[in-house]
Amino acid sequence: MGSILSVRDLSKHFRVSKRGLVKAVDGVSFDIEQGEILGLVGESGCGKTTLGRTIKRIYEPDGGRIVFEGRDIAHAGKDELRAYARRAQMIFQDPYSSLDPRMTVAEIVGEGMAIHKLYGPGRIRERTIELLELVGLNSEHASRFPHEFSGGQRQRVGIARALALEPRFLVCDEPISALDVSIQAQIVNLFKRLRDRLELTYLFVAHDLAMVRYIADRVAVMYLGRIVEVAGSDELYRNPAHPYTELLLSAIPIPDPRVEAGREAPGQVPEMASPLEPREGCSFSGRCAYAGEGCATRGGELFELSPGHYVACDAAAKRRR
Amino acid sequence: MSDAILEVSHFGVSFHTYAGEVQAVRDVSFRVSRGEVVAIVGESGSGKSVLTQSLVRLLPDPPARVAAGGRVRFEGEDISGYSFRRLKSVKGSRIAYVFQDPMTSLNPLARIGDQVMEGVVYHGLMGRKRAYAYALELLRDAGIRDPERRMGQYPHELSGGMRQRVMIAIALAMRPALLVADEPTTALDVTTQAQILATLKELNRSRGMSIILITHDMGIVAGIARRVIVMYGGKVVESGSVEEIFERSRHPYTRSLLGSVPRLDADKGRELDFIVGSPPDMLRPPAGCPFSPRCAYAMALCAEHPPAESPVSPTHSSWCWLLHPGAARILESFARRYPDRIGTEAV
Repeated sequence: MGSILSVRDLSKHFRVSKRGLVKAVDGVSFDIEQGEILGLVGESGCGKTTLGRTIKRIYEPDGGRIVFEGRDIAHAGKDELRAYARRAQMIFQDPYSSLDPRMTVAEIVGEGMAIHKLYGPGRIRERTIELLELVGLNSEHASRFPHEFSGGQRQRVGIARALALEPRFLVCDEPISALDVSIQAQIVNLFKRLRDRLELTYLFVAHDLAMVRYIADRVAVMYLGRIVEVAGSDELYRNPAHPYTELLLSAIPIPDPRVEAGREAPGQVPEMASPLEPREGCSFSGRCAYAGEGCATRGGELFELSPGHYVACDAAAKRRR
Repeated sequence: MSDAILEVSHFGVSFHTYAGEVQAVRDVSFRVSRGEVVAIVGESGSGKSVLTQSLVRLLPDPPARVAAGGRVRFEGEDISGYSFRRLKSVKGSRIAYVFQDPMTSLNPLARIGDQVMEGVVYHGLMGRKRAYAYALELLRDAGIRDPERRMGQYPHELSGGMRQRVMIAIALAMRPALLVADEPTTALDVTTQAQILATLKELNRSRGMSIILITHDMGIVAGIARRVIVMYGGKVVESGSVEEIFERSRHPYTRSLLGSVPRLDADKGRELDFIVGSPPDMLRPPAGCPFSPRCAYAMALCAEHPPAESPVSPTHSSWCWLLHPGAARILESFARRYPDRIGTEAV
């Protein structure tokens, strides 16, 4: 299977003041295979949401390419973007603010089909019911308003809306983090089932690493606008190579008192540098326990450590060899 | 027992709203020993925050009304009948709170130093000069490494984790016997979370301060708590030592909650368990066990009659009809036939 999406050297900068420039996404490259779930993790402020939104072309990129099904849509025009909007859809974090409170569920799910003139009104109604059933709701729900639903059900409505245009690719931006623990597993299992059934491809943005490991085939770790490590999800969790990935993994609590009793909390780590500060070299070097002399001036390029496992850390490469 | 710092019995809180009476906390009893870390676990709407805030009436009445008949004993004293004014001597000095959102808990217009010093100066315990030195010490205990600089800063100059540390320093000022930490790390990144939890553990050890930690994250519970209270639909459904809850839980809700969180250190082959349906409508909670509508084991009885406390061990209790002597046989045969049954049904 080939890649459905190739991102090359993608950048998105925000000007926050006369001199302040936040490089939210700073030269990011990766591929997603057809049918794959790529997890994207990192702490708040690392740029993972901006990256997702730039790929969906909610934001205009400042540089680089986004090649989707063979076409570069980074600088595509209106018509091409409209076609892209059908093929690539987005699931948002907050199911409370991402659904219009004055529209019924049927209107929310059917709106895209009407705008893209896919079917006539009768067929749209039928299709809406099919979609609701696909995500675990039913025809009774169609005439209700968002406020009548729980968070998990609202997220299902959001998923049905995204699937209405028969997309091939979904950008899921923290789709479960606003949900209750007992609901998260329902929605994650739904995502997995839909991927298998509809042969979808996901970019799954999240900060819950345990959940990402569970759902994703591969995981990319992002730090201050750059991807610092990419690997198969089991490989990443078993053999993290980048010091930042190590730090993240050591900080995640494990729901087992015996395991927790044997773990040490990560020592005090300096806080994330301001994204406003200019930087050269490895962006993590200021916080890194292994940082050597060269780290502040060079490095930060991804290279292949073992087949399919990429890391942006010179020291990690040396340690491995 | 004499080593209990907090004993709560038959405690209830309801909110009187236009839509009706929301019974947020119903008939809750528990105790916290001196120097103990107790976790109260539950999802949103389980009543865990309302419970702990109502103990010293932090929530205004109306709308939050504490039900008659409940008792709260703190350090051996019955404080449930205290007037609002008398409670003031307890809250803030003997019981301190740290809340989830450090962004809104601090005064944006006051310097960090003044906010840390406020308690001791207000209570007339110290002059400003001594209070300044004391505040430096508190900030250091809360894990802030350059307290001198922080004292002169305003909240907006600090990161979220740093602000939460300031909140902890403020909470420590009156040397409380009990710290209630309500989702203290939910708004923070995992690396910051790990450090804040380590700080809380250290404070528990060095000061012998009891901690009630409210959370929905089973991983955090495993790392810090000695005892666990599981709440669902405004009620306690299970309580026990951390090992008893994680390894020998006797309540279907606790077990499915544990089964629904993926573990970072486990193989990912298995399908995640999940609980069907959604949490109960607290305007019309089920008459019986609050979990019965979602429970894979529920019997007709469960929906109508609330289960009584069933002791499993001297430290472990579960509120579930399956532990009734008459139901035990059914459970065993059922569990033998369907070892993985809980929560694995289709949506």
